Amino acid sequence: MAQVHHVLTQRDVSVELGRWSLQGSIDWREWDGEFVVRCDASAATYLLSTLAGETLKALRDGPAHVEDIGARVFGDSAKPSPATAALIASFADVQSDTQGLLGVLKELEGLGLVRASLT
Amino acid sequence: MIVSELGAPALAARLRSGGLRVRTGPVVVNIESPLADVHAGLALHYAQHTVEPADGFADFHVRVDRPRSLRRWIKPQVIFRHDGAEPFTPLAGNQGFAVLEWGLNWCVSTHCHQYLIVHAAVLERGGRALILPAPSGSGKSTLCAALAFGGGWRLLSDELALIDPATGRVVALPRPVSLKNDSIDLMRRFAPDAVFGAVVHETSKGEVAHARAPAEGLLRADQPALPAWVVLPRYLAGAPTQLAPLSRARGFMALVDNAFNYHVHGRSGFATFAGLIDRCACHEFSYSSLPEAVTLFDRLARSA
Repeated sequence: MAQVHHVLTQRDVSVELGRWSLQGSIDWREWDGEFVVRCDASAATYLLSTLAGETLKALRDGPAHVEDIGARVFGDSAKPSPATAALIASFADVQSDTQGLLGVLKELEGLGLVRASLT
Repeated sequence: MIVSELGAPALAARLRSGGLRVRTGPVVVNIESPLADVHAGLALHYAQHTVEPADGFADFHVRVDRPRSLRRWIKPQVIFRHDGAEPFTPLAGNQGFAVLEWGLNWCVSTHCHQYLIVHAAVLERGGRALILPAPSGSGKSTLCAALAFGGGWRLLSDELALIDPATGRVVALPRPVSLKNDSIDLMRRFAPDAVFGAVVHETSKGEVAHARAPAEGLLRADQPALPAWVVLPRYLAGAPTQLAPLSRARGFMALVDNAFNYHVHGRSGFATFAGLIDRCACHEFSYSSLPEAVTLFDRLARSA
């Protein structure tokens, strides 16, 4: 069975200061809160959790610092989809503690889907 | 003309010299072999397949023969040749027809890149295709055979799902169904009218026997089908018959994980699988009883 990528990693202050952006061309589809994405650069395809997929989707609006990504993922909850509502309930702490989101971003970086830059 | 109309002497003559040019689905293969068990296997399993003109086009030129070594006199082996090359090591001499079948699978899965190819059995009913992607040993072919021989489903393939990226449809490749070990007797009891070839012992997969593809699959080999279900089968001894929902994303990944040439198709492959999954219900299926499995898939087909 395919592995779901969503792993928390240790704190990395340098990337917290940077802005995150999508890396290269990415194809994706979402079904019921689960995402599949294909990185054109590596030709690899991944199954992503709701949080990882929503994080990636948030970056379609442009590069952002982790706090802004958090706001994009969790901020617009006026009419959340069932999957997003469940996500917000599961990760309520993420808005105040960005470590969870950073962990996701670091793993997405490891997969070649996003990159951080100090700008 | 079909193979059975040739008669045994003419079939053997073609196989010994020049080759038998036979069509299976969209593929034409020119087969040569001096081996009697290959002749017998083709006469039995490909009896209803169309013979193509000897001067026509063939996608593959293959030959099953004895290797050119002293072993041909001591402990005979068989070798599969494709365009004169020998992509595999020789196998025991009694495995000629099985080697031909495995070699043809290799030919299609490594060359027919006009299709997105998944290691899966495919059947059709009511114009809708059921895709059973799974690695070897999962019970895929056993379930496929049960549905094809006793469940009212048309066999498209027991091994290779050929998905046309342009239409999203699965193209039929009706060839013998490969059964292994306990599945052979299980299927003989379940489908006594099915036509089986000789059991080949001590292959790398254990005992292997092929069952001739049902006639309907051959008669309608030119009719592709649009997928409606992706079901991941798993045979578990003693397990209850159980069909459980599978998320579409995981169904998608099952197609990717079992694809032979997804990497070749790039972004188009992703879009093709995504479009397929959009149209399909996805399930996981575990079973140990073939009659119960057939009943369940009958209900599945009727309920959609």
